[in-house]
Amino acid sequence: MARLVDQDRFAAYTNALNNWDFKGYIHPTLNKQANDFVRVKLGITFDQLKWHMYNYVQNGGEIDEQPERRPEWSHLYNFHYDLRFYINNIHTYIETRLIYTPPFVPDEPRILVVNVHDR
Amino acid sequence: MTQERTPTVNSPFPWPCPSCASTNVIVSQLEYNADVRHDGRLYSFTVPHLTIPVCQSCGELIFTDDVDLQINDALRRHLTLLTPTQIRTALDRLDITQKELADRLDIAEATISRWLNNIQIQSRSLDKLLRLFFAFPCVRQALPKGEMDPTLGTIDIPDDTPEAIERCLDSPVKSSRYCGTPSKGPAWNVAADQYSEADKVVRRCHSTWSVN
Repeated sequence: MARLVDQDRFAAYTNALNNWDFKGYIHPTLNKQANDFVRVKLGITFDQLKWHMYNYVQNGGEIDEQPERRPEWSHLYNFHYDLRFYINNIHTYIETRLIYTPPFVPDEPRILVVNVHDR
Repeated sequence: MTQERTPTVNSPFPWPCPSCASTNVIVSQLEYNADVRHDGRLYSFTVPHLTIPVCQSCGELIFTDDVDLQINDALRRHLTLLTPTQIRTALDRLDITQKELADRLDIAEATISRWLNNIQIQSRSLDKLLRLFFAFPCVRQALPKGEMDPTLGTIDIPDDTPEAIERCLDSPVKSSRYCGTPSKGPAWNVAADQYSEADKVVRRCHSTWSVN
Protein backbone atom coordinates (compact mmCIF):
# COMPACT_ATOMS: atom_id res chain seq x y z
CA MET A 1 0.00 0.00 0.00
CA ALA A 2 1.22 3.47 -0.83
CA ARG A 3 -0.37 6.44 0.83
CA LEU A 4 -1.34 9.27 -1.50
CA VAL A 5 1.27 11.94 -0.78
CA ASP A 6 1.33 13.95 -4.00
CA GLN A 7 0.03 17.33 -2.84
CA ASP A 8 -1.80 18.19 -6.03
CA ARG A 9 -3.58 14.86 -6.32
CA PHE A 10 -4.33 14.81 -2.59
CA ALA A 11 -5.87 18.28 -2.84
CA ALA A 12 -7.90 17.17 -5.84
CA TYR A 13 -9.13 13.98 -4.16
CA THR A 14 -10.10 15.65 -0.88
CA ASN A 15 -11.75 18.52 -2.73
CA ALA A 16 -14.03 16.06 -4.51
CA LEU A 17 -14.75 14.32 -1.20
CA ASN A 18 -15.60 17.63 0.46
CA ASN A 19 -18.28 18.07 -2.19
CA TRP A 20 -19.82 14.70 -1.34
CA ASP A 21 -23.29 16.13 -0.77
CA PHE A 22 -23.40 17.89 -4.13
CA LYS A 23 -24.52 15.78 -7.04
CA GLY A 24 -21.84 14.62 -9.43
CA TYR A 25 -18.63 15.07 -7.48
CA ILE A 26 -18.53 11.47 -6.28
CA HIS A 27 -19.91 9.30 -9.01
CA PRO A 28 -20.66 5.62 -8.32
CA THR A 29 -20.64 3.25 -11.29
CA LEU A 30 -21.10 -0.11 -9.60
CA ASN A 31 -21.93 -3.50 -11.01
CA LYS A 32 -24.76 -5.52 -9.46
CA GLN A 33 -22.50 -7.37 -7.06
CA ALA A 34 -21.04 -4.14 -5.69
CA ASN A 35 -24.48 -2.52 -5.56
CA ASP A 36 -25.85 -5.46 -3.57
CA PHE A 37 -22.91 -5.18 -1.18
CA VAL A 38 -23.79 -1.54 -0.53
CA ARG A 39 -27.58 -1.85 -0.43
CA VAL A 40 -27.96 -5.28 1.17
CA LYS A 41 -24.86 -6.06 3.23
CA LEU A 42 -24.00 -2.53 4.37
CA GLY A 43 -27.64 -1.44 4.20
CA ILE A 44 -26.89 2.15 3.14
CA THR A 45 -27.68 4.39 0.19
CA PHE A 46 -25.04 5.62 -2.26
CA ASP A 47 -25.16 9.06 -0.64
CA GLN A 48 -24.49 7.55 2.76
CA LEU A 49 -21.55 5.68 1.23
CA LYS A 50 -20.17 9.03 0.01
CA TRP A 51 -20.53 10.49 3.48
CA HIS A 52 -18.62 7.56 4.97
CA MET A 53 -15.80 8.11 2.43
CA TYR A 54 -15.67 11.80 3.24
CA ASN A 55 -15.79 11.18 6.98
CA TYR A 56 -13.03 8.56 6.83
CA VAL A 57 -10.56 10.81 4.98
CA GLN A 58 -11.62 13.89 6.97
CA ASN A 59 -10.56 12.02 10.11
CA GLY A 60 -7.13 11.17 8.74
CA GLY A 61 -7.95 7.91 6.99
CA GLU A 62 -5.45 6.72 4.41
CA ILE A 63 -5.98 7.06 0.68
CA ASP A 64 -4.02 4.27 -0.95
CA GLU A 65 -2.72 5.24 -4.41
CA GLN A 66 -1.90 2.36 -6.70
CA PRO A 67 -0.52 2.54 -10.25
CA GLU A 68 -3.15 1.20 -12.62
CA ARG A 69 -1.61 -1.90 -14.20
CA ARG A 70 -4.69 -3.60 -15.59
CA PRO A 71 -4.32 -3.31 -19.35
CA GLU A 72 -8.01 -2.61 -19.93
CA TRP A 73 -7.80 0.48 -17.73
CA SER A 74 -4.16 1.60 -17.75
CA HIS A 75 -4.56 3.52 -21.01
CA LEU A 76 -7.30 5.58 -19.32
CA TYR A 77 -5.98 6.01 -15.77
CA ASN A 78 -2.52 6.26 -14.26
CA PHE A 79 -3.72 5.32 -10.78
CA HIS A 80 -6.59 3.99 -8.79
CA TYR A 81 -7.26 4.96 -5.19
CA ASP A 82 -8.41 2.57 -2.49
CA LEU A 83 -10.11 3.34 0.80
CA ARG A 84 -10.31 0.61 3.44
CA PHE A 85 -12.35 1.13 6.58
CA TYR A 86 -15.27 -0.21 8.57
CA ILE A 87 -18.87 0.63 7.76
CA ASN A 88 -21.49 -0.84 10.11
CA ASN A 89 -18.79 -3.11 11.54
CA ILE A 90 -18.00 -4.54 8.10
CA HIS A 91 -14.50 -4.05 6.76
CA THR A 92 -15.13 -2.37 3.44
CA TYR A 93 -12.86 -1.87 0.45
CA ILE A 94 -13.74 0.98 -1.88
CA GLU A 95 -11.93 1.27 -5.21
CA THR A 96 -12.03 4.70 -6.82
CA ARG A 97 -10.53 6.70 -9.64
CA LEU A 98 -9.67 10.37 -9.54
CA ILE A 99 -10.76 12.41 -12.50
CA TYR A 100 -9.10 15.77 -12.92
CA THR A 101 -6.69 17.61 -15.14
CA PRO A 102 -3.63 19.03 -13.38
CA PRO A 103 -3.02 21.54 -12.00
CA PHE A 104 -5.68 21.23 -9.31
CA VAL A 105 -8.55 23.67 -9.64
CA PRO A 106 -11.11 23.69 -6.79
CA ASP A 107 -14.47 22.05 -7.58
CA GLU A 108 -13.17 20.58 -10.83
CA PRO A 109 -12.06 17.09 -9.65
CA ARG A 110 -14.45 14.15 -9.58
CA ILE A 111 -14.18 10.72 -7.98
CA LEU A 112 -15.45 7.65 -9.76
CA VAL A 113 -16.40 4.81 -7.40
CA VAL A 114 -15.91 1.62 -9.38
CA ASN A 115 -16.07 -1.16 -6.82
CA VAL A 116 -17.14 -1.76 -3.24
CA HIS A 117 -16.72 -5.06 -1.46
CA ASP A 118 -15.49 -6.66 1.73
CA ARG A 119 -11.95 -7.98 2.16
CA MET B 1 1.36 10.56 -20.19
CA THR B 2 -1.42 12.73 -18.81
CA GLN B 3 -2.38 12.37 -15.16
CA GLU B 4 -5.99 11.39 -15.65
CA ARG B 5 -8.64 11.42 -18.32
CA THR B 6 -12.40 11.57 -18.05
CA PRO B 7 -14.07 8.77 -19.92
CA THR B 8 -17.24 8.41 -17.88
CA VAL B 9 -18.41 11.26 -15.69
CA ASN B 10 -20.67 13.62 -17.59
CA SER B 11 -19.61 11.98 -20.82
CA PRO B 12 -22.20 10.80 -23.31
CA PHE B 13 -23.05 7.17 -23.81
CA PRO B 14 -21.74 4.65 -24.60
CA TRP B 15 -19.63 4.34 -21.44
CA PRO B 16 -16.89 1.81 -20.83
CA CYS B 17 -18.17 -1.15 -18.87
CA PRO B 18 -16.53 -1.47 -15.41
CA SER B 19 -16.74 -5.25 -15.73
CA CYS B 20 -15.65 -6.11 -19.28
CA ALA B 21 -14.13 -2.70 -20.25
CA SER B 22 -15.87 -2.66 -23.62
CA THR B 23 -17.25 0.75 -24.52
CA ASN B 24 -20.75 -0.54 -24.96
CA VAL B 25 -22.81 0.70 -22.00
CA ILE B 26 -26.04 2.46 -22.91
CA VAL B 27 -29.18 3.38 -20.97
CA SER B 28 -31.98 0.84 -20.93
CA GLN B 29 -35.28 0.48 -19.13
CA LEU B 30 -36.15 -2.81 -17.48
CA GLU B 31 -38.05 -4.47 -14.68
CA TYR B 32 -35.71 -4.92 -11.75
CA ASN B 33 -36.13 -7.06 -8.67
CA ALA B 34 -34.42 -5.08 -5.94
CA ASP B 35 -33.10 -6.33 -2.62
CA VAL B 36 -32.50 -3.56 -0.12
CA ARG B 37 -31.69 -3.68 3.58
CA HIS B 38 -33.36 -0.84 5.40
CA ASP B 39 -33.81 -0.27 9.08
CA GLY B 40 -32.33 -3.70 9.83
CA ARG B 41 -34.63 -5.67 7.56
CA LEU B 42 -34.18 -7.01 4.05
CA TYR B 43 -36.88 -6.01 1.58
CA SER B 44 -37.44 -7.42 -1.89
CA PHE B 45 -39.60 -5.52 -4.32
CA THR B 46 -39.94 -4.86 -8.01
CA VAL B 47 -39.04 -1.62 -9.75
CA PRO B 48 -41.19 -1.90 -12.87
CA HIS B 49 -39.44 0.60 -15.14
CA LEU B 50 -35.89 1.08 -13.86
CA THR B 51 -33.83 3.33 -16.12
CA ILE B 52 -30.30 2.00 -15.85
CA PRO B 53 -27.09 1.83 -17.92
CA VAL B 54 -26.53 -1.70 -19.24
CA CYS B 55 -23.49 -3.13 -20.99
CA GLN B 56 -24.61 -4.47 -24.33
CA SER B 57 -21.57 -6.78 -24.46
CA CYS B 58 -21.64 -8.58 -21.11
CA GLY B 59 -25.11 -7.61 -19.83
CA GLU B 60 -23.76 -6.00 -16.66
CA LEU B 61 -26.07 -3.49 -14.97
CA ILE B 62 -24.33 -0.25 -13.94
CA PHE B 63 -25.71 1.31 -10.75
CA THR B 64 -25.30 5.09 -10.59
CA ASP B 65 -26.70 7.88 -8.41
CA ASP B 66 -29.77 8.16 -10.62
CA VAL B 67 -30.42 4.42 -10.37
CA ASP B 68 -29.98 4.54 -6.59
CA LEU B 69 -32.54 7.35 -6.33
CA GLN B 70 -35.06 5.33 -8.34
CA ILE B 71 -34.52 2.38 -6.00
CA ASN B 72 -34.94 4.68 -2.97
CA ASP B 73 -38.21 5.99 -4.40
CA ALA B 74 -39.43 2.45 -5.01
CA LEU B 75 -38.45 1.44 -1.46
CA ARG B 76 -40.43 4.38 -0.06
CA ARG B 77 -43.46 3.34 -2.10
CA HIS B 78 -43.03 -0.28 -1.02
CA LEU B 79 -42.90 0.68 2.68
CA THR B 80 -45.34 3.60 2.36
CA LEU B 81 -42.81 6.06 3.76
CA LEU B 82 -43.12 9.83 3.50
CA THR B 83 -41.11 11.33 0.64
CA PRO B 84 -38.74 14.26 1.20
CA THR B 85 -41.24 16.48 -0.62
CA GLN B 86 -44.08 15.37 1.66
CA ILE B 87 -41.99 16.05 4.78
CA ARG B 88 -40.99 19.47 3.48
CA THR B 89 -44.59 20.29 2.57
CA ALA B 90 -45.79 19.32 6.04
CA LEU B 91 -43.15 21.51 7.69
CA ASP B 92 -44.18 24.43 5.49
CA ARG B 93 -47.88 23.83 6.17
CA LEU B 94 -47.35 23.83 9.92
CA ASP B 95 -44.76 26.62 9.79
CA ILE B 96 -42.24 24.48 11.65
CA THR B 97 -38.50 24.72 11.02
CA GLN B 98 -36.20 21.72 10.71
CA LYS B 99 -34.59 22.77 13.98
CA GLU B 100 -37.92 22.91 15.81
CA LEU B 101 -38.91 19.50 14.49
CA ALA B 102 -35.52 18.16 15.59
CA ASP B 103 -35.94 19.65 19.07
CA ARG B 104 -39.46 18.36 19.55
CA LEU B 105 -38.81 14.83 18.34
CA ASP B 106 -35.29 14.59 19.82
CA ILE B 107 -33.77 13.86 16.44
CA ALA B 108 -30.50 15.39 15.27
CA GLU B 109 -31.11 18.30 12.93
CA ALA B 110 -28.56 16.79 10.55
CA THR B 111 -30.67 13.65 10.33
CA ILE B 112 -33.74 15.62 9.29
CA SER B 113 -31.62 17.46 6.74
CA ARG B 114 -30.48 14.11 5.33
CA TRP B 115 -34.11 12.95 5.04
CA LEU B 116 -35.07 16.15 3.24
CA ASN B 117 -32.11 15.94 0.89
CA ASN B 118 -32.75 12.30 0.00
CA ILE B 119 -29.47 11.16 1.49
CA GLN B 120 -31.00 8.90 4.12
CA ILE B 121 -34.39 7.22 4.42
CA GLN B 122 -36.20 7.46 7.74
CA SER B 123 -37.00 4.29 9.67
CA ARG B 124 -40.55 2.99 9.64
CA SER B 125 -41.07 3.85 13.30
CA LEU B 126 -39.87 7.45 12.85
CA ASP B 127 -41.99 7.71 9.72
CA LYS B 128 -45.06 6.85 11.81
CA LEU B 129 -44.05 9.40 14.44
CA LEU B 130 -43.64 12.04 11.71
CA ARG B 131 -47.09 11.24 10.31
CA LEU B 132 -48.69 11.51 13.74
CA PHE B 133 -46.83 14.72 14.48
CA PHE B 134 -47.82 16.29 11.18
CA ALA B 135 -51.43 15.09 11.32
CA PHE B 136 -52.60 15.77 14.87
CA PRO B 137 -52.42 18.97 16.95
CA CYS B 138 -52.76 16.91 20.12
CA VAL B 139 -49.61 14.98 19.23
CA ARG B 140 -47.73 18.19 18.57
CA GLN B 141 -48.98 19.55 21.87
CA ALA B 142 -47.90 16.41 23.68
CA LEU B 143 -44.40 16.80 22.24
CA PRO B 144 -43.48 20.34 23.21
CA LYS B 145 -40.14 22.08 22.95
CA GLY B 146 -37.92 21.52 25.93
CA GLU B 147 -38.87 19.39 28.92
CA MET B 148 -41.32 16.60 28.35
CA ASP B 149 -44.02 15.73 30.85
CA PRO B 150 -42.43 12.82 32.75
CA THR B 151 -45.81 11.19 33.32
CA LEU B 152 -46.71 11.09 29.62
CA GLY B 153 -47.42 7.51 28.70
CA THR B 154 -47.22 6.22 32.26
CA ILE B 155 -50.81 6.70 33.38
CA ASP B 156 -54.18 6.68 31.67
CA ILE B 157 -55.92 9.94 30.91
CA PRO B 158 -59.06 10.36 33.06
CA ASP B 159 -61.48 10.93 30.20
CA ASP B 160 -60.34 7.99 28.15
CA THR B 161 -63.76 7.35 26.73
CA PRO B 162 -64.69 6.76 23.14
CA GLU B 163 -66.37 10.16 23.12
CA ALA B 164 -63.23 11.89 24.39
CA ILE B 165 -61.10 10.17 21.80
CA GLU B 166 -63.57 11.20 19.12
CA ARG B 167 -63.38 14.79 20.28
CA CYS B 168 -59.61 14.68 20.06
CA LEU B 169 -59.54 13.07 16.67
CA ASP B 170 -62.39 14.91 15.01
CA SER B 171 -61.97 18.48 16.19
CA PRO B 172 -59.28 20.23 18.19
CA VAL B 173 -61.57 21.49 20.96
CA LYS B 174 -60.78 21.80 24.65
CA SER B 175 -61.36 18.20 25.59
CA SER B 176 -58.13 17.48 27.44
CA ARG B 177 -54.72 18.87 28.17
CA TYR B 178 -53.20 17.32 25.09
CA CYS B 179 -56.10 17.83 22.76
CA GLY B 180 -57.25 21.21 23.91
CA THR B 181 -55.56 23.76 21.70
CA PRO B 182 -56.28 24.22 18.04
CA SER B 183 -53.14 24.25 15.92
CA LYS B 184 -51.96 27.37 14.18
CA GLY B 185 -52.03 25.71 10.78
CA PRO B 186 -54.68 23.82 8.87
CA ALA B 187 -53.73 20.64 10.62
CA TRP B 188 -56.71 18.64 9.45
CA ASN B 189 -56.07 19.35 5.86
CA VAL B 190 -54.12 16.15 5.38
CA ALA B 191 -54.36 13.50 2.75
CA ALA B 192 -57.07 11.00 3.50
CA ASP B 193 -54.80 8.00 3.42
CA GLN B 194 -52.27 9.69 5.69
CA TYR B 195 -55.03 10.64 8.11
CA SER B 196 -56.43 7.13 8.08
CA GLU B 197 -53.08 5.51 8.83
CA ALA B 198 -52.24 7.96 11.58
CA ASP B 199 -55.77 7.73 12.94
CA LYS B 200 -55.41 3.99 13.48
CA VAL B 201 -52.15 4.44 15.36
CA VAL B 202 -53.53 7.23 17.54
CA ARG B 203 -56.58 5.20 18.44
CA ARG B 204 -54.38 2.30 19.47
CA CYS B 205 -52.06 4.38 21.62
CA HIS B 206 -54.46 7.00 22.95
CA SER B 207 -55.33 5.08 26.09
CA THR B 208 -51.75 5.37 27.34
CA TRP B 209 -51.64 9.17 27.24
CA SER B 210 -51.67 11.05 30.50
CA VAL B 211 -52.69 14.41 31.90
CA ASN B 212 -51.25 14.39 35.43
